[in-house]
Amino acid sequence: MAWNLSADKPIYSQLVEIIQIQIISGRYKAGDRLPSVRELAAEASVNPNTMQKALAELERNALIITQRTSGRIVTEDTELIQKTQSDLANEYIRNFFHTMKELGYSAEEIVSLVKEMAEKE
Amino acid sequence: MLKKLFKYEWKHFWKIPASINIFLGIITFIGVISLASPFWSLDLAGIDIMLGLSIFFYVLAIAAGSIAVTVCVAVRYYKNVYTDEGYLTNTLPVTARQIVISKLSVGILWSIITGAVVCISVMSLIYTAMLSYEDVDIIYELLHEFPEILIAFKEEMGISLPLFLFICLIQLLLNNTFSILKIYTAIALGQLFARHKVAGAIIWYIGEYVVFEIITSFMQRVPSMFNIFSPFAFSTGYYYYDSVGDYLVPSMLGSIAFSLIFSGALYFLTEHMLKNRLNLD
Amino acid sequence: MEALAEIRGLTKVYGNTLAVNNLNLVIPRGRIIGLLGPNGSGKTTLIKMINGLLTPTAGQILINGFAPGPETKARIAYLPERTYLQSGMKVSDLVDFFRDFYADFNRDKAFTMLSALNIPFTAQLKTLSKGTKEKVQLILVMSRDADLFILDEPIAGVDPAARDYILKTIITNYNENASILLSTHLISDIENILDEVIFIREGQVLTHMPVDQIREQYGQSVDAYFRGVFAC
Repeated sequence: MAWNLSADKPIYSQLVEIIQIQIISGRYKAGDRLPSVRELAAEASVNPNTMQKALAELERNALIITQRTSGRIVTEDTELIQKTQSDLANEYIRNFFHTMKELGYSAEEIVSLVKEMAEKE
Repeated sequence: MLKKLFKYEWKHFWKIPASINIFLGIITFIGVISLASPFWSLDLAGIDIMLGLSIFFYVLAIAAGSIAVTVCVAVRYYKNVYTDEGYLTNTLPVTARQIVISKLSVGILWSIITGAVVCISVMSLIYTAMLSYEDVDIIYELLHEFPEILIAFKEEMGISLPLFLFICLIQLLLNNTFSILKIYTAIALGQLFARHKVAGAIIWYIGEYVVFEIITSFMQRVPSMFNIFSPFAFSTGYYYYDSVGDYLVPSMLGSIAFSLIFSGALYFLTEHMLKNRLNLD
Repeated sequence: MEALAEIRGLTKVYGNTLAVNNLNLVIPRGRIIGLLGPNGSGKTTLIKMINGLLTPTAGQILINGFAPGPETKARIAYLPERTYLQSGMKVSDLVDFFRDFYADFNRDKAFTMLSALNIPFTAQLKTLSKGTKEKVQLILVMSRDADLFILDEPIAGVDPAARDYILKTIITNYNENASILLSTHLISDIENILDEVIFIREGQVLTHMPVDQIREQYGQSVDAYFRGVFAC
């Protein structure tokens, strides 16, 4: 199944995000070897060069490390993975607040709505 | 690459011309059987008419078979080079020359095979008829009197029989090549039309036919002209030939030269159109 | 490294119509490129000239430094938008045909792909459906190790499952010395696998840029951008 990509954002930044989530959610654990660019590109149904670019971005953030012998592996630095997780969470929350404010809610109202939702679940 | 092209050309094309030749073979076989049987000697009403009709239809079938093979060769070239199939043929890593030569040689091969089948068919019918009704074994007589025939032929024609047959064979081969190339060129030139390219090819073919007929009829006068202007002709005031061969052999050689020159011209036109003027729809 | 293909001043005139008009284009190596444009914009005409099936009225095409001819045909794998298969052949005959003529043809790859799409090797071509014939042609083309793959509308006639398989095949076949030129009008299906797009209109190149650049610059998908550019 191809990865779910939205139409209006650059593809490579969406790939970065999806791989980050796959690492955070434990699909690829710390120290795991990642599939090759070609395999990942085929799985996502995206261009291999774009996948390459996304992986290069993740390497720059040190979430992925390239080893000469065994290819790309996920970092063993669990703190970095947790930080990535909290960064992503903060970004989602920021976006969420932004959208809710556009709908006319104040910060307090948003928090209480979230609490209600959390209790229901 | 030429070898591979030839191999596939043969493989993809043999079925229809082979069936036509098998059909001719069957007709011949029926003819031979009927001639060998006492059927035609029966005292039946209308047997003469039946015989006439049978011969008529036999000649018709033989002619139709030969024409059908030529038409197949033409259709094969057109379809495989200039229609959808041409998208594969013309994107193979081969030259235009290799494409034309592979198809031309398979086409010539089939004309020769068909020509041979027709010859064998006619001869076996004549042989059987002579044997059953005249009680003459032509082959036996031929072999028996072969040395005499050779000498008589040489005397009459001024040329030895094997050489004469060899010239005949070359002429036959070249005539076949020439007639196929006329079709190929017409197909290639038909592509110059924006639409109705097949109709265009037919128009070109008719044009070629007319032009070559005119040239041929002009050429046929050439040997007699030579004789008119030869010193011998002047001295006697009229021209005449020492033997049939004196007329026949030069005219055959002339015809060979004619086929050779114009086949070459048509070939280069065909190749040029495929190499430098290809425009597939 | 030198460009894979260079096209300069390419022009094709049909009677009174100008199908391709002084077109210039450089095709780099290692890219998957979409050739996009409305019907009648000159996509197929351009492709046929690159493959030597049409003679240009003017201009020059160089592939690996050669004008279209046997040298370029040996290195281009071309999927036309029509069926060129001769009836009276089996699928396996066709595989042998390709292996005989194209030195870069990989027979095992072809048989693997045929199996994956459940196409029997011994089937007579004339018994296959139109869609299956198209798949067979695509498999033959993709089984080559060519420098330039030119696929004219490869996904127009096939079902979604086969389309996904085809796209995956294109991605996994990709290598950095080869480029794939994909002509289509179904952009949204393929835009994620493209590096760059070439928009053609009235026989000329309107835009030639990377997909991500379009998304960043215009904040919309290539499909949406395309609709905007070609809106009537």
